[in-house]
Amino acid sequence: MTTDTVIEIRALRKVFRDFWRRPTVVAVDNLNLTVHRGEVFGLLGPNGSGKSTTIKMLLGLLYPTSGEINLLGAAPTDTAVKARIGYLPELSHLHPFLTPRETLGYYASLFGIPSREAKRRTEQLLRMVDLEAAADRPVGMFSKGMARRVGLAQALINRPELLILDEPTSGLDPIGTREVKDLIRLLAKGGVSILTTSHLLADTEDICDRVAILDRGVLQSEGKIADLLRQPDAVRFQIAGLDEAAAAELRRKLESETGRLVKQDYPALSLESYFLQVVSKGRRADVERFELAPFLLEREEPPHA
Amino acid sequence: MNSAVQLFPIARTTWLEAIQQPVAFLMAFVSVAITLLVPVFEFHHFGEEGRLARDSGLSCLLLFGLVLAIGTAGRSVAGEIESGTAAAVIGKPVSRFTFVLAKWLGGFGVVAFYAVAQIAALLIAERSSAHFVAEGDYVGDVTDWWGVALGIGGLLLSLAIGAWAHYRWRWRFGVTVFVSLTVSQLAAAALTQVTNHWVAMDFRAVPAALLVLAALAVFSSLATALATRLKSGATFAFCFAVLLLGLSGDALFGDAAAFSWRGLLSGVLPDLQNFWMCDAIAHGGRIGWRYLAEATATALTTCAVFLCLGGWLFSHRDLG
Amino acid sequence: MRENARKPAPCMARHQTAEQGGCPPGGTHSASYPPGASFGGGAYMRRITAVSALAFRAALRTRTVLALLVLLALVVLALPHVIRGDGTPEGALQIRLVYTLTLSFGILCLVTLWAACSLFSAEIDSARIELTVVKPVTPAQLWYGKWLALVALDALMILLVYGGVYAQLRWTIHRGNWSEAQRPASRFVTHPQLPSVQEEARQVYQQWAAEKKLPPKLSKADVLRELANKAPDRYSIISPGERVSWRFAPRRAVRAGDPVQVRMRLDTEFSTSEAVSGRYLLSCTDEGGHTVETAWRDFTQKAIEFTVDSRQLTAATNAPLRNFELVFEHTGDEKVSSAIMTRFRKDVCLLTPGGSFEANLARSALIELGVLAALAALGLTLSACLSLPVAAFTGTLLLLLFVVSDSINTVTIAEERKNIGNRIGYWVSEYVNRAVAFTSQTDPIGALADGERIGDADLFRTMVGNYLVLPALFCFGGAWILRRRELAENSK
Repeated sequence: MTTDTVIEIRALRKVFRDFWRRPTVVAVDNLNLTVHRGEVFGLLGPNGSGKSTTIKMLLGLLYPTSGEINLLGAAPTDTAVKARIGYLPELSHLHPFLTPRETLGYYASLFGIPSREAKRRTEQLLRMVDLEAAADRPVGMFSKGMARRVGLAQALINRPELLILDEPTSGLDPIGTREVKDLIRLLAKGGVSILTTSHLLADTEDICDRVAILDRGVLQSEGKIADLLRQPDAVRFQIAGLDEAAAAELRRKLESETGRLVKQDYPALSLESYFLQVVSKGRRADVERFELAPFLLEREEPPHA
Repeated sequence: MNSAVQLFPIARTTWLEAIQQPVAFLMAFVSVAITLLVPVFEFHHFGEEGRLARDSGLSCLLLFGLVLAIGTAGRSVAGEIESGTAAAVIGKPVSRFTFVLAKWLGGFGVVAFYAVAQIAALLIAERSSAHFVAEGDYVGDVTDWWGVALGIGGLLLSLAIGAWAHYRWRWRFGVTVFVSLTVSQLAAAALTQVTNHWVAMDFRAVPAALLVLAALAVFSSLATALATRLKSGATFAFCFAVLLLGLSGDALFGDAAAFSWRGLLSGVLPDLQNFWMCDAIAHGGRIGWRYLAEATATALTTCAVFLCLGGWLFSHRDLG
Repeated sequence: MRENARKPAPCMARHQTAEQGGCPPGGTHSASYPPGASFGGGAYMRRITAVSALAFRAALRTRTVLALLVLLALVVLALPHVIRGDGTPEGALQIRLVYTLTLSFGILCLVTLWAACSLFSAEIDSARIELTVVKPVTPAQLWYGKWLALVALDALMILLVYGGVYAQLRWTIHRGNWSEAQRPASRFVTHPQLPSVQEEARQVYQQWAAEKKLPPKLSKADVLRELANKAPDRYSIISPGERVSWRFAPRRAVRAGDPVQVRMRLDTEFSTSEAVSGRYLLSCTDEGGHTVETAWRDFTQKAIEFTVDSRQLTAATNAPLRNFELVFEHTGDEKVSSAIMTRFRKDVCLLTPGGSFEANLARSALIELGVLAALAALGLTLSACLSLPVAAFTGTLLLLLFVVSDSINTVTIAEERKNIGNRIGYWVSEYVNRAVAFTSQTDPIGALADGERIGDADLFRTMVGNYLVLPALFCFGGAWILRRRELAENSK
C-alpha cells in the first residue's frame, strides 16, 4: 500500500452462514478496490448488492470470510486507525434523548478531544449544518433530515482523514442534498478522502471522481465517471441565441457535410436546478450559508522533535 | 369491514410473532424442566411429595405465565407502537378496539399454549413423585422413574426436533421447540398411563391449573391495556405490584371499612386468592366445575373491563 | 466558503508531512501530526467517563429511574407503617432496618441486573452501537463506562434508601424517647475460642471411631467433610446441673468503664425452656480479674442479653481487659426442667463497644453496593452476548441459583446425596456456592439490626471481590465477546 492509498481491498469475500455454519448468502465475492487520498469514490449498486456489507467490513463491524482490507495502512479493527475515520451510517442511529450539542460532545470525548476544543468544534459544526437553533432539543424529536445533519456533524468532529458516508443524501430535501454535495466537494478539495454509497445516481455523478458498481456481491465495473460515461462516437454542440430557422439551416448543412443524421434538441434545466432556482429566490443567503466549519481547514504544525 | 373477521388475522400474527421470540421457548422450557425435575430432587420423603410437585408446577405456571403474558403484551403492543407497525395496521380500516382485543387474544393464546405443556408436565411430576405403596410384599415409598424419564425424554425430544427441523428445513428453532414441547408433554402424560399401574393420575390439579390460567388471562388483559401507554418495564412493574397487592389484599385491606380509600382498593384489586386453590386440593378437596365456571366468568368480566380501558387509552393516543 | 476552500488543505499538509518522513505509511495518526484524537491516559479516562456519563444521563432521562425512586420511597416511607410491630423498640428497629432495607435491596438487585442486561443488547439491537464502536474506543472502555454508570446510579439509590431509613430511625428514636440501651449500636462481636472446624471434625471422628459409631458406607474423607460442614451449626446440649464454659479474647481490648455484653441465643421450644433457670459467671482472666455473677430465670426468650460494667471485672482502675471467661450453669430442677440447646460457635458471644451505628450503616451500604456492582458486572457481560430478554432471563435464573445454593448446601446430608438426582443438584449448588461465596458471605442488614459491627475483613473482602476482582473478570469476558462478535445488523 502506498502513502497515496487510503483504502485497499484485496480478494474480499463475505459469506453469511446459519447456525450450522452452512452458507446462506455470499454478500461480497472477490472484491478488489483501491481508493486514493483526496478522491471521492462512489460505491454503487442495487439493493442487496453488498455495498453496506463492504462498508461494515471496512469499519470492522463485520469480519471478512477471506481477503484483505487495508485502511490507512492498518487493519480496520485498529483503534488508532478509527481515530482518523468519520462514518455516517445509512440510518442515523443517534441517541434520541441527547441534544445535538450533547451528541457532538459525546462523540468528541470518544475521540479523546479536550473539552475546550470539543466545544469549539461542536459550535462550528452546528453552525455548518444549520442546527444552532435546535442545538438544545433532543434528537429524538428531529425530522429525518435534521437527524441526518447531526449524523454528518458527528462524522466530522474528529477532522477525519477518511470519510465513509452510507447514503449521505437520503432523507434530505433538495436544498439539504445540494448542501451536502457541496460539502463533500469542499472536503475533497481539502484533501479528505471520501467513500460514499448512494442509490441516487445523479448525486453520485455530481460528486464522485471514480465509481465502482457492485451487483450480487461482485464488482461489475470500476473507473472514472468521465471515462465510464463517455460516448466516443458522438459530439454535441451547444449554441446560444439561434432562432428556429437558423437552427434548421445549420442542421441541414451539418447533415449534408457529414452524411450522418444530426439530432437537434433544446436543453432544459434539471428539475433539481429548477427547484433550487425557485426556492432560493427569496432565500439566496440560506443556500449559500452552508459553509465549511473552519476547524476542518486548519493547518496543524508537526510536533517538534 | 366486520371486526370479527379482522380479529383473527391480527391475533394469529401476534401469536406467531410472540412464539418466535427466544424468550418464549426459554420460559416454557425452563418452567416444564423445573416441574419435571421436582421428583428427581426430592431430598426428603415426608409423605407429601406429590403435593410438592403439584404446588411447584402451579407456582411455575403462575410465575412463568405471568412473565410470558406481560412480556408478550409489552412487545406486541408497546413494541409495535414504537416501531410503527401498529400505525401500519391502524392505517387500514381496523378499529383501535379491535386491535387491542386481537393483541390480547394473540398474547393470551401464547400463555394458554404454554399452559397445556405445563399442566401435562405437572400431572406427570405429581404422579411420578414418591408415593407410599403397599402392594403385595412391598411396602414403602416408590418414585416412578419411568414417568420422570418419559417427561424429561419428551423435553429432550422437543429440543432434538427443534434442532433437526432447523437443520433440515430451516424452521425457527424456538418456535419448533415451543410447539413440540406441548405435544411431547401431552404424549408423555398419556404414556405414563401405560407405564404406571400402582398410582392413578390425579386430575384434580387440572381445574386448579385452569383457575391459574384464568388469573393469567386477567393479567394478560391488564398488561395489554397498560402497554398501550407504558413501556415494557413500567408495565412489568405495575402488573407485579397488582399481583403482590392482589395476593396480600386480604391481609392488608381485609378489615377496611367499605366507604374508605382502603375499602375502595380492596374492591378494585382482583382477589387472587380465589384463583389459587392448591391448599383446597392438598386437603383432599376437589374444585367443582361450578366454581370453575364462576371464577372464569369473573375473570372474563375483569378482562373485558381492562380491555375496554385499554381500548379507550389506545384510542386517545397519537401514533407516529 | 470558496475562500476557505482555497486555504491550504489540512490533509494535504498532513500528506506532505508524511512524505517528509514524519508519518510512516500506515503509521498511526498521532505519530506525525497533532491528531483529531488523542490516546494518552487522560484521553483513556475521558472515553470511559464519556460512556459513563451517557449511560447515566440516559437512565435519568427515562421514566425508569423515576419509577424506581417512587417504588423505593414507598418501601422506605410506607412499609414501616403498613407492617404492625410488637410495640417494642427492638421490633420497631427490626421493621425499619431489616424489612425496609431487605426489600429495597431486593428491588435494587433485580433492577440493577435487568438494567445491566439491557445496556449492550439494546444498543446492538437498535444498531446504535455501530456509531460508537467505529470510534477509537475499546470494548473494555465501553464495558467499564457502562458499569461505572450503573454503580453510580446504584450508589445514588443506596444513599437515598439508607438516608431515608436513617432519618426515619432518628425521628422514631426522638419521638419514642428511646433509652441509650434501646438505641441502635455498633459492637464488636467476639466468639468463643474454639478449635478450628477441621480440628473439631477430627476429634469427633476419633470419638465416633472409638465408640464404633461411624456411619456405614461412607469414607473417612466424606465423614470428615460432613462434620466440618456441619461444625458451625453444632449444638451444645446443656442439661440441668451441667456447667459449660467458654473463653474469649476480644481483638480489641476493652477499656475500663466500657460495657461488656453477653449474648446467648437459644434454640429451644417455649414449652421446654419454661422451667429452665441458670446463672452466668463472667470473669476477666487477666491478672487482678474479678468474676461477676448474673442469675437468669426467663429462658423463654430466643436470646439472652445482659450487660456488665467492665470496672466490676477488674481491680485495676485503668488497665484494658483482654481475656474473659464465661461460665453458664443450668440451675433448673432435674425433675421438671429440660436441657437447652445453643449453637456454641454462633450463638454465644461477647459484645464490646465498636464504633458508631452511623459508621456501621455506611459499612452495610458499601457491602450492599458491592453486591449490586457484581450483579451489574454479570448483567453487562450477559448483555454483550445475548439479546435483552434472554440475558435478563439467564441473569435472573443465575441469581436464583446463587440465592438457593447456600440453602441446599446447608440442609442436605451425605445420606441424601446417595440418590443420583440429589447428587447432581448438590454438586451444582456446591460449586455455585463456592464460586460466589466471597461475594455474599456477610449479612450486613442482620448485623445492623443485631448491633454487630461489620468486620473490617468482611468489608475488605467485599471491596476487593465485588468492586475489583469480579468486575475485572466479567469485563475481560465481556470485552472478549464484544471484540469477537460481529456488531452490525445484517450479520445473521
